Amino acid sequence: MDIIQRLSGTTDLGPSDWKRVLTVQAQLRTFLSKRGYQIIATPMLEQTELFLRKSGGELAAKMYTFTDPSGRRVSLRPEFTSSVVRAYVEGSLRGRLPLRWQYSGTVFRYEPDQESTREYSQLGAEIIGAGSPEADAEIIALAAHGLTSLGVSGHRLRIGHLAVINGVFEALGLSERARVFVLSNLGELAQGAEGLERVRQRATALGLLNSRAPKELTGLVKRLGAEDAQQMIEGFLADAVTGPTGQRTPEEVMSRYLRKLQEQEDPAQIERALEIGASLSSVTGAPGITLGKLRRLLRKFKLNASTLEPVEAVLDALTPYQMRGVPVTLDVGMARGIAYYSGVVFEIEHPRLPDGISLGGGGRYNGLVKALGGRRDVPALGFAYGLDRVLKVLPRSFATDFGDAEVETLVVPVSSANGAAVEAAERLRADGVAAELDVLGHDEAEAMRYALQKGIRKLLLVKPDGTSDERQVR
Amino acid sequence: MNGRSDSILRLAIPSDGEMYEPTLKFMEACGMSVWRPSPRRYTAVIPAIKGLEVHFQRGADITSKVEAGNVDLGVVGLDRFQEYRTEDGDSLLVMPDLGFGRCELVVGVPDSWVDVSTMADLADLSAELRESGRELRVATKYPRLVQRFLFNHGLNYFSLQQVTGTLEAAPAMGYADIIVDISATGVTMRENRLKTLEDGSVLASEGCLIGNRALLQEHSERLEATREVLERMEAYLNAGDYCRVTANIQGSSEEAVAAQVLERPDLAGLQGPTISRVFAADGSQWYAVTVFVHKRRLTTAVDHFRAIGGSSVSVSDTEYIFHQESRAYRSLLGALGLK
Repeated sequence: MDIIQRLSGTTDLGPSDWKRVLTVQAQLRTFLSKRGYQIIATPMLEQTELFLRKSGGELAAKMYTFTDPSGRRVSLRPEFTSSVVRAYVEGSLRGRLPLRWQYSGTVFRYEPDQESTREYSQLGAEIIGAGSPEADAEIIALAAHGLTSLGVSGHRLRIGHLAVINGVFEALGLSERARVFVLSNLGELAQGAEGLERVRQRATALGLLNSRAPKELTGLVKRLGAEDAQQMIEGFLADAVTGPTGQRTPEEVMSRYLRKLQEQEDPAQIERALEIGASLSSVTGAPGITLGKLRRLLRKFKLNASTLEPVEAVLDALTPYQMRGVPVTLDVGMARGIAYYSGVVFEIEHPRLPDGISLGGGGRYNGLVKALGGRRDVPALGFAYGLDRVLKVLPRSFATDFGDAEVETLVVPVSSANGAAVEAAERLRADGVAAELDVLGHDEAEAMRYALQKGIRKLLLVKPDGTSDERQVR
Repeated sequence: MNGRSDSILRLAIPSDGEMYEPTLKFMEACGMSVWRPSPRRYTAVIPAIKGLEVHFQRGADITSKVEAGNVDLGVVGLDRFQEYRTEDGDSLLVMPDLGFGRCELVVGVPDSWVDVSTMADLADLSAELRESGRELRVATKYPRLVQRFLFNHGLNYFSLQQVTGTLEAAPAMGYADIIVDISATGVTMRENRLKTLEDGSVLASEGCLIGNRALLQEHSERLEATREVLERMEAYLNAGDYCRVTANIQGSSEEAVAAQVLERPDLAGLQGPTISRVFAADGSQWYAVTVFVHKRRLTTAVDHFRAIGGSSVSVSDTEYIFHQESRAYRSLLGALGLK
């Protein structure tokens, strides 16, 4: 038979590596529970819809999704926050707000690149029901200090806030579609003129920077009243919109066509949003100086600088935590994708990790509770570490204290004294001695060699009458 | 993997569908006519190549047969290969463009959707449908390729409908909204009142030769037979682009005629012109000049010959052109790590 190989992107961990993982988990668990974070567990398998709603579809391409035997579409979890919030909304986990929860476990993300990891270990914390900058600061400090508590050094915090870019969108009156586009491209906008050019090309391809419909038509539609415009469009299109329309009605097709004409975005506004986004993204650095630069920049673009207030509030709240040795970079161009983030966002970087790869990160997602069916808006935020990456930056001195026993004695039955040997081994274990039982029928010489190889120091040779001889292994 | 240890090279070719006839024709044109003792037999031989056995397989199965090592090589449409191969499996693309079975996998939406003309439009629409509690239903026989394509175009909300019959009718019959299907000409789409989107081309496909990496690495006799297959295919495909042009040109010497021809090095053949003396009845000095030129440049070449005094220009097709070495074989060795 041929060998069945491990799937690419997965790993086997031997005893010493796995002990490191368990030790890191245990230490972080204690660190978090000392700060009031209760440990919870959620399912590894959830309805696909859950993760789609949280990520706005962004994660769809990376999820392990399949149809289960009942015909339901399900996915292996690609992250924890969705499940945690679902559990809260569903009421299966309750308590007085704010809830402070921690979790750890495996998540799966499919990366087409063969070298990439696809099975990750995450550990994180969420705080549900607190919207204050103090809660923001607590979570950020937790993420940074948790690593320090493991002995990790050299990590840096990159903090952003959606308030600033949302303020720009508000002022420009951008549509949802345009906002999503700019948000998901902020990272590239930060890469100078070339980045801006690439994003511009993409916007052009999406029809955001050049209107497809002739200006005369969009102008006419805007001048006509809603009712007249509808009559005109229906008159024009009555003959075109015949034949199969799938699950849409001809009226739906026509009214969407009309709506597209009416809502035709002003390309100049999007161009401006890209330009401002690029400028904001390019200003990063130590918070004090950066705030000053951002203020000047916003004034230059004739935008209200009050959108910087929530950013300052978070930074102020962070002061008492004394970010000992963890430098903070302010970067309001950081969006962490288009997932439900609504306020502060942050990532933890480390010089030993490649660019763009972080030890972990998180942010505030006030809209998620409602998006997952909650009756009211409940503010929430959280963070998670990628434990596989944390392991890579642990100090060499990191001690694994998993508390597992080292075998001291090999119990060897002599002349098939199996029953007596089992009893002798159990007695040793009851006395707190870790003992292994020989089950291969080794004689004394063989048992000695085996024990020597395994680093077991003592042999206990047990005879059928229950008596035994002890030998030092050498 | 199948543990065959013999030295026979097994080549799978399609036994059904649109690839069946063209594949046999292509093999014949390459000088590798397939001899099938009876139409009910599922194995055949190619008398021209020793140690090769042909296995007729359903087009949809060929990729997996190659991956599983049941056969060493397979002729299959690129569409089927991309859809069915496992990404870190044992199959590899040995020769990509065999020049037949050309088609395109395209997105088709109802003609009447006047509000949709690009993939971005479609992505918007799928998000809107979702907000109203519906899902864009996509009918296709290529779920993997289509899913990846839609994801790459920002389309995250859709359901794939597995359809076995004719896809084009799905929107009219109401069990899908759009289709993604193979189209050779686009006529069927239009007849079913579907339109393609400007950026809705998933894949341009044609026949290709695939192989099992591990088997070709392990069995040198099979690799050698593979070289023969590749040489013939490549020589045929090379020849398809070129024709042989011969003209009689008057001149004082071979060198003088050569110099005239070489005024346009781009029209002077693969290496250069072949020139030989013509013994004219009236004793005048004529030379026959032969060059191979790309078919696209045929008239330019003829004009050039005329301009330097050529007459009796004749053009003939070439059946095969063998270059100094087979490029396809060299790149196969590279892919197998044997170079």
